[in-house]
Amino acid sequence: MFSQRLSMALPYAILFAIAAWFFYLAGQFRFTPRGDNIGPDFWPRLALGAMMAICLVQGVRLVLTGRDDEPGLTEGFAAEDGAAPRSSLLLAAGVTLTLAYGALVTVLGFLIATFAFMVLFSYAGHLRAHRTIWLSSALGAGLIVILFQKVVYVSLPRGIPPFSHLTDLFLGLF
Amino acid sequence: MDTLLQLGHGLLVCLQPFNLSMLMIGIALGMLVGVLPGLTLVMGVILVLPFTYQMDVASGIILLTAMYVAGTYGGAFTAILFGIPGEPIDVPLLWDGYKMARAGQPAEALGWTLIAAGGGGIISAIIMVALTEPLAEVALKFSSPEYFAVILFGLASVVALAQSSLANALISLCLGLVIATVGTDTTYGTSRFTFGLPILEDGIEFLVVMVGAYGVGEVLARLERGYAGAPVTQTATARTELPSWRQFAAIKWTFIRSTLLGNIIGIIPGAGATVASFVSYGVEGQVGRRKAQLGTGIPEGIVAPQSAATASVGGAMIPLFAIGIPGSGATAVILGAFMLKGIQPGPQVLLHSGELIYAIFASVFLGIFIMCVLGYFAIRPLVRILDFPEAVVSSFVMVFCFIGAFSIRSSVVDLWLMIAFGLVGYLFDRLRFPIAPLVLGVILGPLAEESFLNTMISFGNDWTVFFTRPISGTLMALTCLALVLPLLGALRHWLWPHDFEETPHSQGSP
Repeated sequence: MFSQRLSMALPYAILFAIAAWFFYLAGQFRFTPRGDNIGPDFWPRLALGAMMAICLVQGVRLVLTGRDDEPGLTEGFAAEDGAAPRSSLLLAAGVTLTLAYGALVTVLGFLIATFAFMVLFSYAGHLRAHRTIWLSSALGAGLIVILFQKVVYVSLPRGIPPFSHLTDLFLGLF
Repeated sequence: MDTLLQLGHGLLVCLQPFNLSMLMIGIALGMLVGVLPGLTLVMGVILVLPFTYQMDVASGIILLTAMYVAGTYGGAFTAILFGIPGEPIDVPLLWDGYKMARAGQPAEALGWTLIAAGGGGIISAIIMVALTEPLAEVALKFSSPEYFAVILFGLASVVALAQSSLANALISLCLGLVIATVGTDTTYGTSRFTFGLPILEDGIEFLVVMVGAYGVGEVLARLERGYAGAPVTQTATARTELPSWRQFAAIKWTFIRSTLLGNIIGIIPGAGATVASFVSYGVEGQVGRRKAQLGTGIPEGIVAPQSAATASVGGAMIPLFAIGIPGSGATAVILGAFMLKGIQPGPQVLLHSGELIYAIFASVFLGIFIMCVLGYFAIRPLVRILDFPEAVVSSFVMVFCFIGAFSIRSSVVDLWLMIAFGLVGYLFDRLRFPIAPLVLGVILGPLAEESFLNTMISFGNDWTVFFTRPISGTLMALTCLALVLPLLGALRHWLWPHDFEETPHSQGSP
């Protein structure tokens, strides 16, 4: 019972520790004071101090009572929406793919990385309609690249050779 | 008369080919976002934001506003026809709309929705035009203490209306305020929390936080549950049948009451269409003529939430344009779009860029009209979008999130920050921390800090000035009230939990 209460209070303890660390960092800001005026550390320290105080109160309250606050107005919907069981494996797959995308997009280039991501992310979502997945990913990645590179003029990563050659070849078609 | 003239000019701006096409696209996208269960209205508006970078400000805001208006209506189709609420806004439509459809009257149910959305939206837009300018004139008299008090009131209202606990909402807000301080301080030129990374000297873009926390966080949360959703069939027979004038006259008070309620709720910062929809349904259950039959499939149960939801749009626009405070999550994004163009909405904008503001006003009127026409005729292709697998739609959403991060500064650091905030958004969702206060904190944090610092410098560090000046004092009192009232509720719940165990989540639901 007590360990359950501790686990409920754990997020607040972690947030308290993070806030305390940043509170310390705010005290290390280098600036030249101007008379009695408050410095650039005041505002972040105010927010961090408030955050620490709330985390402390909430954490202690949870440890002592083991009860969370009342649900809000739209929580009934959230509960209804959350009827399906959670799968850590699916979440891990989603997070891994997202992190891999971040790591590889500058290497593979936006076009290839996005195509690969869309294919793998669709499969990770338990979809097995192969033609739909490959076709929508290819069309999606291609159209998005054309739209943003040629119409909206957003600079997207080309990747490094040899992958950049493929990006250039594709963009050269339009 | 002058207002009508300006509105007429605004309409001409809206009718320019590019602006009109943006309006049409915005409405179509808004309705699609409303239909798709995995894509919320705010998330949809955020995903479209990068497309507005290259547009002029009027076209960009017209696109986003059209999405916002239509997003409050699109989800009604799937909620009524299939019992799938595309948005939390549409949940109350399940209780009567879906039941009416199951009783063999889907076309009538959709007709009531169309009348409620169109009528509620238009009346709310008229109120918006009538109230914005007078409110802006009051706001022109504001000095830094009043601005700080207004911003604080806006932030407090968001926190007070948070979906989970007050403590979690306050923590979320504080985190947002801290994130907003990252970068070079404008008063002293001091680097704050930059950790030696040059890109952080410019601060963390609120877009990165918004896209990550709302977009990536929500997709991950839905992926974790395997995109569970009900199968959809029989889209081919969907159509809309409008009620007769006599039928409408019989429920006119429900319509008027809900429209006004939705408008007022929209004006309150932080309380958007979802709150308006739920509260309006709840009020109908308390005071409605046929309150005992509510939940059995009667038109009042459709008109009340739908007219309030669409009416909240006009309400939410009032504080945005008059004071520069967003009234809802979607208007926070629209505020962001203004700021990306170097414009801070508020009384000065209304004074100096009246043409722009009236063009946006006109786009709301025109948007509601086009939305109703589209809703009447394009219902079948719209609901067919549900045949598309959610795994594919989600992969597209993720890619648009990535582009949102790239499009700010073409930096991979922004992409990593966005992914990090996506994980924060997922954890927040899991731990029942609301995301809206975090995002509002990031957007309004710099304004709050600036007005606070200006006040402290101007008034010799005398913080009592916030309470001694009439307007700021009143606003500070309202802020205290907004924070204390839910606190009292929480305290009551804590002290007498048995009072609440009998009717959890009732909120007017049958």
